[in-house]
Amino acid sequence: MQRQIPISELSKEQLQILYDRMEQELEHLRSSLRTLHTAVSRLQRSLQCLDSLSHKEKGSLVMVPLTSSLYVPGSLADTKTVLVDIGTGYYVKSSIDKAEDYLKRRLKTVKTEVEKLQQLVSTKQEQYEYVSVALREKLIQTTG
Amino acid sequence: MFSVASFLLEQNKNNNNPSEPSSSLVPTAKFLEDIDKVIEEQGGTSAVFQALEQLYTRYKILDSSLTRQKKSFQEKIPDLTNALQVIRWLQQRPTAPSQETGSSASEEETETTFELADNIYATAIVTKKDPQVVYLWLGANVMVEYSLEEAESLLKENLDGARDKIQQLEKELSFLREQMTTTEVNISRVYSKHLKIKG
Repeated sequence: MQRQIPISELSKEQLQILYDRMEQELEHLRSSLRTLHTAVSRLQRSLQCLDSLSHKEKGSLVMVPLTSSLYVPGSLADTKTVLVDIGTGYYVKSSIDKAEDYLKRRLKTVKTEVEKLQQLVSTKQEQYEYVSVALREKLIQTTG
Repeated sequence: MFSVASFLLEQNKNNNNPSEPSSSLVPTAKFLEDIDKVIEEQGGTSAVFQALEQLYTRYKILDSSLTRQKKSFQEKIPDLTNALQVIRWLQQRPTAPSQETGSSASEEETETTFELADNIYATAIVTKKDPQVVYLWLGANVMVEYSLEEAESLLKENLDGARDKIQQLEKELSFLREQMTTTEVNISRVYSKHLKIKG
């Protein structure tokens, strides 16, 4: 059963613990936010790549990566279809338009998550600052 | 390199004893046989204690830096082995018939799927030409064109170099751990002497 205890009733040790824990939570949330931002920029880059592929003609010269540092000259075989990695080892062959759609959908989902997380972070930040002010006052009270 | 109290370190003997391991990076810690003498010379247990702690911290920093280097080399090895495998496969494919026979293009073509972007793969045709060139990404925005043979020897060199470096680092690390143990023993002996003096 949860009882709401106003912050002013907490002792300074309890406030300190609360302060530290909130700081940790905030750090976790911020790092999740950073991961999501990376995901967003990677999806946007994939979209750009798809777009530039659609403008190339079949047979145009490309550098084909065979490993992360080894490239071989080759020519584009198919500029109409691509393979999309949808996770857990499944790949879907689809047209460029469908692939673009898929990426745009994923981008939208991630962006919504980013917004939700951003809101959560700002609420937590406010609470954190409130606790920090209360802690400081408690410290002044007991030592002053 | 280590600006630490010299009374804690072995002075560099010029390999009179080749069986004794030494290292270019890790200073050898001296086992303090006669603690009392050292304490007297340095004027008090806390001076000795501080010097020992400083040495120990430096050892710990060295440890983490060497471990990090070793890890980065270990990460490069699978990449290099993969690239070498690919080059060998490229070499083994039958070459295109020479121009003199006048036969029209029946070059060996392979269709490959390559990573266009994060989760998107596209197809391309790789033809075997003679001379076959490959491009190697050397890092720092540098990419160089190599013939197959040059690329193979470069990658092999890098791979062997990485393996050697890892072995070397492992030797340094084990020597370092020995020195750390010596220092730890010194610290505990000085500390117990300190307690005896006090109590």
